[in-house]
Amino acid sequence: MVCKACRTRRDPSVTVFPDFDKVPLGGPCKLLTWTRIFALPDGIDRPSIAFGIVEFPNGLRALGQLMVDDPRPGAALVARSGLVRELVGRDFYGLQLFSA
Amino acid sequence: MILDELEARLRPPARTMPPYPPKYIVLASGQPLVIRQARRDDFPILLETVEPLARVRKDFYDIVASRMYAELLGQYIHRLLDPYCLVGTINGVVASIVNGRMIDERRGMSYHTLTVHRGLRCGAHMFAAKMEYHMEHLGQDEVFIVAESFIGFKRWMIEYQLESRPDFQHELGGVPSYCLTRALYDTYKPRLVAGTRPVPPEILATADTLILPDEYPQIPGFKR
Amino acid sequence: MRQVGIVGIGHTKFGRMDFDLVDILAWSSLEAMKDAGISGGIDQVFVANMGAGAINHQTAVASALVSRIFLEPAMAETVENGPASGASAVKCAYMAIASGMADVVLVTGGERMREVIPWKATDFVATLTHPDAEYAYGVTLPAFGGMYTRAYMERYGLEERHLAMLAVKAHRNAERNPFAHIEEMASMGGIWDGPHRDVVNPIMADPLRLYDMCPVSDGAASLVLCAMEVADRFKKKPIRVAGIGQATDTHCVHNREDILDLKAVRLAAERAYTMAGIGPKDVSCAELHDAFLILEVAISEAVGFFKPGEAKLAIERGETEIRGKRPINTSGGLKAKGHPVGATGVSQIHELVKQLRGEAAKEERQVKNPKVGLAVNFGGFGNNVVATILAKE
Repeated sequence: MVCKACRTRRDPSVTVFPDFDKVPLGGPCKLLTWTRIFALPDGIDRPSIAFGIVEFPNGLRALGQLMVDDPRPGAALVARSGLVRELVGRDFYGLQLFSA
Repeated sequence: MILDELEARLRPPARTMPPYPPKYIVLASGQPLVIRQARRDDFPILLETVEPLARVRKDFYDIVASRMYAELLGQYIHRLLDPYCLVGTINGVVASIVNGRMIDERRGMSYHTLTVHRGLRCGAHMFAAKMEYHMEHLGQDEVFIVAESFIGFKRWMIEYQLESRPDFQHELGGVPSYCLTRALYDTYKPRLVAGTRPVPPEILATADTLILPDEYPQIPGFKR
Repeated sequence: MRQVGIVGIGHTKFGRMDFDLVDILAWSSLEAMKDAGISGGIDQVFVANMGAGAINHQTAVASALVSRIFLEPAMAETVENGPASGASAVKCAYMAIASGMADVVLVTGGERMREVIPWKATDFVATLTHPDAEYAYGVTLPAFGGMYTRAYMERYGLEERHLAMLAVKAHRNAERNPFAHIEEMASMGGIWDGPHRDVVNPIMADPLRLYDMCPVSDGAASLVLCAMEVADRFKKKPIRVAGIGQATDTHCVHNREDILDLKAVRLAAERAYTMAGIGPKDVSCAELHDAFLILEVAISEAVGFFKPGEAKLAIERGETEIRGKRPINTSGGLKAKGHPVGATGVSQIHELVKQLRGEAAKEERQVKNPKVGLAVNFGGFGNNVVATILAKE
């Protein structure tokens, strides 16, 4: 969601703020920072999972699941939509970050 | 040794297993955790160490300690085939105990991990030492494992990504079995297995005579 | 506005507590009332708590506490502001007294997080993140700590060694704090340059290691606050609440202009300084919200103790030690004292009161002649922050 007036990304209530444009996120982006965690929350049964914050060429930023073995800040990545979490009866789709 | 004839019939065949060479790990506190194979003369102390925890009704200490007590007793009085026990000590005091046995030359069975000294990851180091024993010293390819506690399940089954082997009948009561394969061990070894050998004599000497813990964080106000 | 002071403090040990949550709250509440020399006469109770409903299956804990310790018909509310609930409850107490609505207020922060297995507690805390843009990914607070640390290291050259030095300091201070969760010392030879560091002190949220993070704790802390004009009713001399500032920032960390700028911390501290009429140089000791050790570094810069990127030099010079020029987290901090989320903000102020009264001397962690203390309680990943300044009269 991007404000029609100032073009900054926020994540407001879609219901009560109609003056926002929906901007699809995806494609080439730059990795700003990343981590890999080994203490996972309930419901994720794997030993680790990695995350990154990326910046797109239009200046928007997003969090995504990092699918890169050797990430480095500043690295060129590609963001694609994918299944990021499965809970009982509910699948979450979000950004997954791959090497460019 | 002269052995009563009937007693001899009750005992499993005595076989020699490759020893676990002692090692030490420098803990976060800077203290060395010495891990060595338990000797026969250690068992009275080990049993006395485990016994109070069998009455701790939280975090599954009661079932783990009760079962380990029976297993250690079984090993001590020769009612287990090819068992082993590793003990971890800090300044000679028993900090953690692990045990298991050989099923055959290629397969091992993990029994229990019981930690008295909490807060320094002794249990994690001891479990890793147990896997190291099976894989690197007994030369086995598979270790069968079950978990009786939530923490055990998370730590062993998830951290090591153990393979589910529901068809395997583990000796700990038929609960779902998991398996550490050699490939999994090799994958997780760098993150989970550590230690230095040989242990300098002055450090190894601290672990020669086991000392009973006089405090149990699991039992506030414990007095022996 | 009336002036407000703190006349009573109470604390349980942090760690694993096999008691009912309300009994944990009651214990520290009664300790604080005993310290103040009262057995009743409380006009208002605020309970800071984040997880009672989600973890302990109990709601309306303020009402329960009032009844458990016979304080009816005192007014009572539960305050929930994530990990900053404690300082928010103190702010509510301040407003109640300053406005004239109450003369004497009991604030108790407490949590019983270890009732559930650790990954459920991790998940519960993660629910404070944005549900679609963050939580859905499986992200946790340590993940944000890790990403923040990496970005900070890249920009300012902080090394893992500096964090290990802070961990050793935290454990050393906690070892002298009878309320601390962590009782084991940490050494550089074990967690930093020891032969088995990667296994003893493993990476948990790269580049953060196990000893760079706080434990999950149970426990409670309490304060009795009163109008300064009635302070002579109590046993102990009041420690004045000189300033309170609060600020918020975007819910999503990625939406911040600069992900390293702890804007809410900066603004909350500026507001508190302005209210107290002082600046960072006047602060004698501070309790900063070090759920991850990088936060002690970054918050100490955001509140003006050090220039951006220079906290590491202070660490190297030992300035943040108890006997240093700028003592930080003399209690052991969240890192080693523990972090029962609702209790933390109250516990930070408990420590400052103890320091300002000179009562930490018997535990051999007394700051020399402190006059002013600053606490920063950090909610979310920096999206709701409360700074509190106390002054010795």
